Amino acid sequence: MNVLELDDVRLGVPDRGGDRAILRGVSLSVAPGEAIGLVGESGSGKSMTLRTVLRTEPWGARVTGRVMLEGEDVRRLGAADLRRVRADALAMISQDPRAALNPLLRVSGFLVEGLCDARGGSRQPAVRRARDLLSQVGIADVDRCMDSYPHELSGGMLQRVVIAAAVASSPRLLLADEPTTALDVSTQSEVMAILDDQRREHGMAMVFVTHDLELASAVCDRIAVLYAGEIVEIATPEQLHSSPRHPYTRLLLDSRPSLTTKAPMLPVIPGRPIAAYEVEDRCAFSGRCPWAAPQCVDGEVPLLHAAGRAVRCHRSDELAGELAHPTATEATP
Amino acid sequence: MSAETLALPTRRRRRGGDLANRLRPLGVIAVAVVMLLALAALLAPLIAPYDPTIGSVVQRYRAPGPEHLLGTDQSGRDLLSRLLYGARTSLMGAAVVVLLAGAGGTVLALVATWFGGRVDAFVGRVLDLLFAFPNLLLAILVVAVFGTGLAQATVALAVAYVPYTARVLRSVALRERRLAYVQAAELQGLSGVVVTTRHLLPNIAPQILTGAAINFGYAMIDLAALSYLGLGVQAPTADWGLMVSQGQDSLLQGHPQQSLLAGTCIVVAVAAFSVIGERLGGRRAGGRA
Amino acid sequence: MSDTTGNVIEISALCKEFTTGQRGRRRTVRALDDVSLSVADGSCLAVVGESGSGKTTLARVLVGLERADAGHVVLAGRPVAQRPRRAERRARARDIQMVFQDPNGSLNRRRTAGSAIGEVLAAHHRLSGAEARRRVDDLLDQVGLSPAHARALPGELSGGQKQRIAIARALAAEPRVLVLDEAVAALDVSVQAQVLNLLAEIRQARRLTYLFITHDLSVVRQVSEEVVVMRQGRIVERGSTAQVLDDPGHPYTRLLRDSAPRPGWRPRRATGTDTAEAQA
Repeated sequence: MNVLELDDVRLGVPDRGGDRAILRGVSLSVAPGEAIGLVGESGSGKSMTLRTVLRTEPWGARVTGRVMLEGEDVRRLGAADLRRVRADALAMISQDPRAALNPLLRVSGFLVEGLCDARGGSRQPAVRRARDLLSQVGIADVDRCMDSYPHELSGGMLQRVVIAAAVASSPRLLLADEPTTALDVSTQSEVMAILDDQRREHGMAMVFVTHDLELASAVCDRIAVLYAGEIVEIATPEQLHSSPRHPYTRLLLDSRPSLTTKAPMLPVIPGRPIAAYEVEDRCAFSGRCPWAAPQCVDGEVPLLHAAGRAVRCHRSDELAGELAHPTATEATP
Repeated sequence: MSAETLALPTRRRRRGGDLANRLRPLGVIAVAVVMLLALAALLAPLIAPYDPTIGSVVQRYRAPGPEHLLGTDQSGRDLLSRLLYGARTSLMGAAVVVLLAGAGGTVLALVATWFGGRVDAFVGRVLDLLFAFPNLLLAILVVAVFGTGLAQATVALAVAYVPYTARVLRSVALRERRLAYVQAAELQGLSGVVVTTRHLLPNIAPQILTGAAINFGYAMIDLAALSYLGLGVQAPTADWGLMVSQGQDSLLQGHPQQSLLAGTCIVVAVAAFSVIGERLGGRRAGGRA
Repeated sequence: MSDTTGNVIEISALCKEFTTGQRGRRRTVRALDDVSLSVADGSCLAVVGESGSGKTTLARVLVGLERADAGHVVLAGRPVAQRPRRAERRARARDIQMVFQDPNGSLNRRRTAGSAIGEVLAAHHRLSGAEARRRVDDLLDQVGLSPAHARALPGELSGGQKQRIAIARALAAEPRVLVLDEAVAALDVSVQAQVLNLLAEIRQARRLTYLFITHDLSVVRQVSEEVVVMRQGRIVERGSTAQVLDDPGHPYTRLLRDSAPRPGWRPRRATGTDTAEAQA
């Protein structure tokens, strides 16, 4: 059984004259122990997808579709069951670790409180376990860290504490929303490595939301690329890099400047990323796609699964050769 | 890059908060109440059936009837007329307090944020000093020095309100001051006056308005309290606060109308302004992108 | 100070300290510690560093938003006063302009894009109303926007469009130097590429000098000829972009390079530098 299964999840927020779409049908499955990256630009719906799993979508939002967490539909759970699921099966790591920690509690208080709550156990073993967890996330001076208040620690240290707290209850699914965006590059590498280690060690599945395709490629088994509130392509990182099947994926890879070579001009995607509610009855990317054909503006395009990957493009087969092996220096048509 | 692909995104309609939408009728009612009160104050000389200050002892404590719609007070003066005229002093006084306190607070807040450093610290100290006095105590102090009367009471209250306005606005202005557009303007060598009035002031205007509406209610209560204590509006002028106080004796004699009616007017007006203030604040938070 | 070297910016021995915290627990942070650098006319110098490196303070001192404790800045051959009067500020603004990181804070949300550009035009040039409007349209065109955008309020523009307006506003003063403080960091990848290309085009067309502040080494590679790497207020490495990125000499530069995600990259638990620093 899959840990998480999203089936045609749609989300709209009420607006004058109807709903404003944010998610337009996201379907995704996550196997036990699997790491999936949700990659997209701002407004693509990647964070909102996570929020439908946690049931923390904005007030008044209308959600349809099914969100199956270990066979239970999260969307239909009562308050008590929802609390149980959130406590046992899920853990969340968000962008800002400072927001996740009570500024008035020492790290020890935060961790031990969480452990006692989750297990109903006594204090002594909880303290021992908290110290254990901290040393596992690469904190050298555990004593000092346990005694610190959040404001005395750097962002990287805090995010480690949050990771330690997240893995403490051995959840089956880890939801990570841009966990390293607020950190410096050198800290990001470290924190990502720890997150990856811990995830594998505890056998957790992960949904990793990020705007950074390379970062997701480094720690995920599969990557789902989102655009305008829907998934346009799902594939392994290797497949995405060597042979992207959706024009958007290919152009996204191209437009990121390279660390090793300077391009005379960066290949660009014309226009701006559109929001889900702006999509008309056609391929959402057709307005910016250099390969757009008449069939692309005629009705919505389905996400087709084949050979372990999925793509939402009418022309993916005929363009396969043209989209393959992108490098930053290669010019796009 | 074609101009077409960079076309303006469609003008997005402003989204009101859902809660605000549901509570909309209340806001409309509040505005209507305030307009009604303002109209009453403006038109008092035209619509009041009697002179509010002249009565005859023969007419005292008349029950409401066709001749005196709301009855009369202990001196035989028409209560409806007194309420209508009372709206003038009560509303005017509060309006002046809010205007003076708003202006003073805004200027102090802008000066403190623009210059920062020592100026900011100095303004902060002065505000702390004013904060240390309870509003009414400060007002009583001023009245004790400069004499009783509506003008003195108003100015005294305005001074007492300045720190509240200034403190809130300073924090808002400070947040705005740190934004890049203010610094971009500063970079051009534009003067502080230009940058503050052109950029800072319009962007803290919603908070100024919200604060003013909420303060209006408090100012009415405080002015009424001063008049009640005999330090504000003086008899025989009609004023709601004064009416509550003068109605006390009658209350004990079994004629509660005067205190009751004036008190109701105060409560209704204060509630209306509070709702408007809260609504202005809510609109700002739920509105703009 | 010479003005014959062909350097439009010369900074020598710049120092700046900040004091943070309340009484009793005061801490002094050296944001700039003996920083010297020069930028050749028409070139692009990238300043790389992480948070706390002092890169933003350097930019702010350079444009005059912050005052240095010690050191000299020579801009276009003129020494810059540390406590400039308004006329001097205005003169400096015609030499150097800045584009900020946050596209949302860059523009006054109650004024149109056109008036943001117009304000700078009016501050530095004597123009009639019609001339100013024509210049605004020109500038919008140069940043890839249409005259219709002049009437738009910031709330109606996307992040990329707002950043274009901010660039147009900086160009309105016709400066020789543009300081770009993480100017593309907040933009989406596809929009970032557009703005990077635009900045390259503009530099060529107007023969501008850029001081490009960023944490992103890929961006450094794409935009700059020279680079300085800053750490805790000091310059730890400098050189041509190709040389510094291909063959970094300082361990910190190597750490930065090795930490940047790229195809085939794996995150690594570092040798404990971060741990040591965070617990120090």
